[in-house]
Amino acid sequence: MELEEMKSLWSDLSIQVEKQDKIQKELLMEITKQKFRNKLNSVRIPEILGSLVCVGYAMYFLSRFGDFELWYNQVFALVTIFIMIVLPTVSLSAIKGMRNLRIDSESPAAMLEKFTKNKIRFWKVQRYGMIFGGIVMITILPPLAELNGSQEMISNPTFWMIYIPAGFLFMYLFSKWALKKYKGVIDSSEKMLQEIE
Amino acid sequence: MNKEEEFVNLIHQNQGLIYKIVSIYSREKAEQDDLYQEIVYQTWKSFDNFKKAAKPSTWLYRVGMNTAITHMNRSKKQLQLVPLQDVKIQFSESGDSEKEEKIQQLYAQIRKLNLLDRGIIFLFLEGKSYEEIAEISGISVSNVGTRMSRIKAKLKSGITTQTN
Repeated sequence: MELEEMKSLWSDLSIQVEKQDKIQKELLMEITKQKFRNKLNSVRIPEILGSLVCVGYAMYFLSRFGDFELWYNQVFALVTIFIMIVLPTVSLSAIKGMRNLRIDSESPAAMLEKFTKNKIRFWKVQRYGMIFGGIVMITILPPLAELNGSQEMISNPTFWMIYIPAGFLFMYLFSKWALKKYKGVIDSSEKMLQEIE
Repeated sequence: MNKEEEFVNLIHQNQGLIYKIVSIYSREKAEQDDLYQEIVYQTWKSFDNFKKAAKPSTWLYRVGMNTAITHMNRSKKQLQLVPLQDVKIQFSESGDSEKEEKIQQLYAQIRKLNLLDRGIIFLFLEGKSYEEIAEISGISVSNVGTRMSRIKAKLKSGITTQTN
């Protein structure tokens, strides 16, 4: 098919789409309002809930920090507090970077570049999030056990013999899945960036 | 005329344009419906800037293309389709089956291009000059020329292969 034929085909198509039934005007506003409600529900709630859980744990450990008698639990609690505050902050900022692009003021070339770079950043944050998530899995338990008076549970070697291998198995399977996705997204995004340049 | 009426009129007058953008950026019906709704929503969200835009005629092209770019590659689980029974987005089909087949071939080949090139060929087929394409898409006129030569070659070979 030559380009002139494509153009003529496109022009026929344009006439055709102009003739077809149009969505009723009142339904257009209904779509817009519903979409707005959907966005509020689906976008913000998981992010806010996740961050609240993290900050909640961090605040809990901070408020009870004086109750830790064991030095290693103080260290574990500090590590947990740090991760629980930094991780959601960085993650939310990466998501914000992708979502806050001004759809009507950027050109598609600039939009594609910014969006792709932000997407790469988001997935890098996800990767670090996964690693730090694994660390938290280990560091959160001993301080929690001390605060709840379950010191015996974590003093029992059998508990760690089950918890650590099970934790590592979970992290291994989860990381394998997530890294595969990560690699795919990053590769295609970088390819996209090369194509823009 | 209030803001809602102006917005609805703008969308109503440009539904054909939105249909075409949706068709070159997505293939599955659910994805197309979702992208259509997303473009309508994003247009509403930025509508206050529409009147301030230097060239209102190119504003909707940008919003449509940018929405498609940022909306692509979503999984089906991420679709946020508004389930309104009365809203059926009909994608054009002509009575002429041969022509319809050619249109589908053309769409299929355009969808194989990268996201930016899809926008460029779309603007070209819409009858925009290289200068206008450069202005809307944000690349230089010479870059439009280079890309167009590559796109033409890709489309030509793709459609020939498909036909054979």
